[in-house]
Amino acid sequence: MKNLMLCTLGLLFTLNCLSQTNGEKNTQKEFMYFVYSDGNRVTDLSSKKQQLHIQKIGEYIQNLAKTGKLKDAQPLDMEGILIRSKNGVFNESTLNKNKVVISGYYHILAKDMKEAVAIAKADPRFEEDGWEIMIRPIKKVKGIN
Amino acid sequence: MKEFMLFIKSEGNPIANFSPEQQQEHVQKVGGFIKKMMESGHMKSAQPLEMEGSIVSFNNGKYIDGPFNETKEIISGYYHLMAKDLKEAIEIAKADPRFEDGDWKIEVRPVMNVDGIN
Repeated sequence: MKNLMLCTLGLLFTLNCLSQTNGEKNTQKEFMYFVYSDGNRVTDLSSKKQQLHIQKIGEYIQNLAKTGKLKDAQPLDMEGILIRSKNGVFNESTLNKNKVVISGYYHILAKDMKEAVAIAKADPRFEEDGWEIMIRPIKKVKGIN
Repeated sequence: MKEFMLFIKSEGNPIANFSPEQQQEHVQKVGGFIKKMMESGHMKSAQPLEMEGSIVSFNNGKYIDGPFNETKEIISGYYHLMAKDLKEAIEIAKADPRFEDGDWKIEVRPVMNVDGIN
């Protein structure tokens, strides 16, 4: 009898944990983090410091993936083209990489903006000066995503 | 094929003054473009963004949670593209029918491959 009760309690506990995990997944929202820097902060570092920076960021990304918070993360080349259209005429200009530009992005799952901000603050790149992360919630639009 | 991120920029919302029917038509046109690009294998992802957000920075040993100014030029969405080269990525960007509806800008950026990151 005692064993049956223990088994039932165990089963109830497992089901409760599973429903909490599913509930958490259902309430997660999507956020884009745009990582801004003035110029290329990484190439300005010595090769040893560059390696250390990449290691720290790599570990942070791995941890986000393990905890189910990460959908995607990629660094960007410090080059690019800006296309603008005015009255039907296209104009192309080269990105000024010495100004503040997006050097990478994260696609993150978080409960709300408060949690999204906390995740961003844990990014080890903030151990160095000159970085900024813009956090933007992804919008659901029927017919688009 | 190489990976590119296309950041769609605008000052405010260029279609804010459109009638609901015109807005619906805009969404349909852009949705059709995205579908076509997905089917041809050129697009990995496309997402619009809410016109709100937070900015986190770190200065002099302190975190700063900055305000987000939605009246300035902002990113209103992005495309994650696959293209042969930058030239093809630019051609795809220019084919976006959003350019028929108001003033938009698209920043085309190649994804960088870094060992240990991606």
